[in-house]
Amino acid sequence: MSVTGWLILLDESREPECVSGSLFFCLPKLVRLTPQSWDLAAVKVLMTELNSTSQPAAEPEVTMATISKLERLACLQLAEPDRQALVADLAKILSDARSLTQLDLSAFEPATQGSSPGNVLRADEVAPSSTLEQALANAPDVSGPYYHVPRVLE
Amino acid sequence: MTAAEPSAVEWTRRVRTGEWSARQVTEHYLQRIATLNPRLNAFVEVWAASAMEQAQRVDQKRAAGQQLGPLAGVPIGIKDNLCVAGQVCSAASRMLANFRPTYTATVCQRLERADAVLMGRTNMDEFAMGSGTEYSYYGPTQNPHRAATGSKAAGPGAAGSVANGSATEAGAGATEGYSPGGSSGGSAAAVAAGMVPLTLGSDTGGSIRQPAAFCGVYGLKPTYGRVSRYGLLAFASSLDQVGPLANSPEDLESLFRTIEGADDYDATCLSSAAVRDAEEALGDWRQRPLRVGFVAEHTELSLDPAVRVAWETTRDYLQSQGATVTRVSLPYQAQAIAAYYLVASCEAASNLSRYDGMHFGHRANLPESTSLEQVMAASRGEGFGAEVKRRILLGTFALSQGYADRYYQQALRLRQAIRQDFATAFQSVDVLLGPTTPAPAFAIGAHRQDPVAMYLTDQFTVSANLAGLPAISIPVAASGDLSRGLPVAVQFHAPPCGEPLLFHVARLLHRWNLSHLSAGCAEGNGASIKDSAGGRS
Repeated sequence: MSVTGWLILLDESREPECVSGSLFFCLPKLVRLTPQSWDLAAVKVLMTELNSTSQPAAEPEVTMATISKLERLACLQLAEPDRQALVADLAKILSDARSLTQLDLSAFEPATQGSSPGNVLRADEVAPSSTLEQALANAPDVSGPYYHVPRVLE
Repeated sequence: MTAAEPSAVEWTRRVRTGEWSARQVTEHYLQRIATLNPRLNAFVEVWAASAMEQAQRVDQKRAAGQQLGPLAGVPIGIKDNLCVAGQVCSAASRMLANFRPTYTATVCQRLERADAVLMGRTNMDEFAMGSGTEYSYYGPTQNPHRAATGSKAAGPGAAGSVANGSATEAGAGATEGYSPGGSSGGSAAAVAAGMVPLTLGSDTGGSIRQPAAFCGVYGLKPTYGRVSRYGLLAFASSLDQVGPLANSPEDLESLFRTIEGADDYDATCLSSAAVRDAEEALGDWRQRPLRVGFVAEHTELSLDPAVRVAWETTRDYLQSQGATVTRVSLPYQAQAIAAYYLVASCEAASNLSRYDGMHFGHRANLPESTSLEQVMAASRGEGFGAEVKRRILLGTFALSQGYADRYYQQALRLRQAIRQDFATAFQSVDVLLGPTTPAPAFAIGAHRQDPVAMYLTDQFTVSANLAGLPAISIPVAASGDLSRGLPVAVQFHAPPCGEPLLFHVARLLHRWNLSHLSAGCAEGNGASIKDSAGGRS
């Protein structure tokens, strides 16, 4: 197998759980994959993703632990009453999706778009874009010409 | 139905001839909004000063003998998820309560070029996630046909401050009254009540058509790619589409023609050549009787009697006008709603990851020692409302290890099946007729404890988004007894770029509606709201 390109990993200290979802911004790390230089962490992520699309999962049970895990994955802090409500809500929504998950749709290729107009390219030309002032206009906190964010490095 | 106010087309004529100035038209509608909005909460902010400036420019153009645009002097409401440079665009969320975009959405630029007057932003479900305009930071919008009585539609400050140009504050909202539908409920209610002749909405799973049906107005979800999404705050990018709401097919088409077309800033837009090819593929439908498909699966469903009667009488009417009606089958319709909520939530979980409180949007106020990740999580927790959180978590779950295949990939496979269902059906018919919603408008709060029940109100609208097809909701004059005085509607789907077919059907039914309008139909209660503003025509 020959793999080249980049993968964005979650926090190294965690098990990689979602590489196509919403969490690229949570302590990201870039790992380069080349046929010559395999990075073990990157391979682990790659294999995890491959496994996730090939092994049938059991019917999920939504618990408080599930919600806590999703909070972490989605970088979204919930209030305690919300957590309890979401256990019931998610369980019901997933239960209602059973009519879909139990269908045999193996004859259909997954469609990420409703229609497929094909690739669209434009000339790679320099054009005016946002000014520094515009880019910072909505920032919650700035420091001179920079976004001011909480400490990233210890 | 028949608006008490003149149509947009008529207003443009009056402005062109000088019968009215654009400023007079704008003042007239600002007054209507000031009178009606305290009760309906359809607008969350009115841009009175900039609207008057735009109107003045239109008048100056006319005075200078310059050619006026196709919507000259027509006031338009803009859904609160479309960017206009310098104006707050909040998606009805605390997250973006103070966000002022530095650029203007392509559709809004096109409105400005057409000499329309942008009146303000209309209420919606937060980030367009909802079917009732109840999940709004600004409180719920009321359905003009059955608004709450004896209380203001939104919380403190909703009435006076809106017309003065400042946003309303989040409020407890009304405890009674009926929902205008959602998520473009503010846009639908504003048009239905004659607060503006036209509004823009966005439709990810029915968010234009369902509120149009609940409020008795026309609403179009264009073909995916017909209208630019540049400057539309993204919910689910493969499903989102901007579209018009209006009181007549002519107004609806006029607004659609103004905003549609390729855009260098949206790579998913169809080129004019692609549109031409798709329109040619529709065949010579103008030269022969209309072929209407009647979806077999819908007849088996539990529908409100008013909706069923409206749907069947529409079928019979079209048949009496020479259309051929054929039963067609869409076997995967029953699972469309589950597939939609999975696909949309997965895309939303990804799209809304941009709101981290670092570059823009709400940031939690925490001690300086708090870590970056904790601040992000807290900011998102404080900034997003309940329904948005529910969908982000659902999407995150459906994309997570071990479940992506069972949920997300399965939903995408069903999407393919639905595309093929439609393609097969459109080999033998020009349009598909069905209900827009299973029932007329529901009472505000009716689905608050059961999100799945709310999701089911979209069961007939989501397929068009999954397949990228155009679809229209058309109000139908219904028996007042059956519908309890609330509007009912039917929906038509067409093949890609089949908007001309949909406008054709809408015009046919509009004439029919006009000839059948009598006391007790959908106009009844709405007219009382309109009349209370002292409208003049």
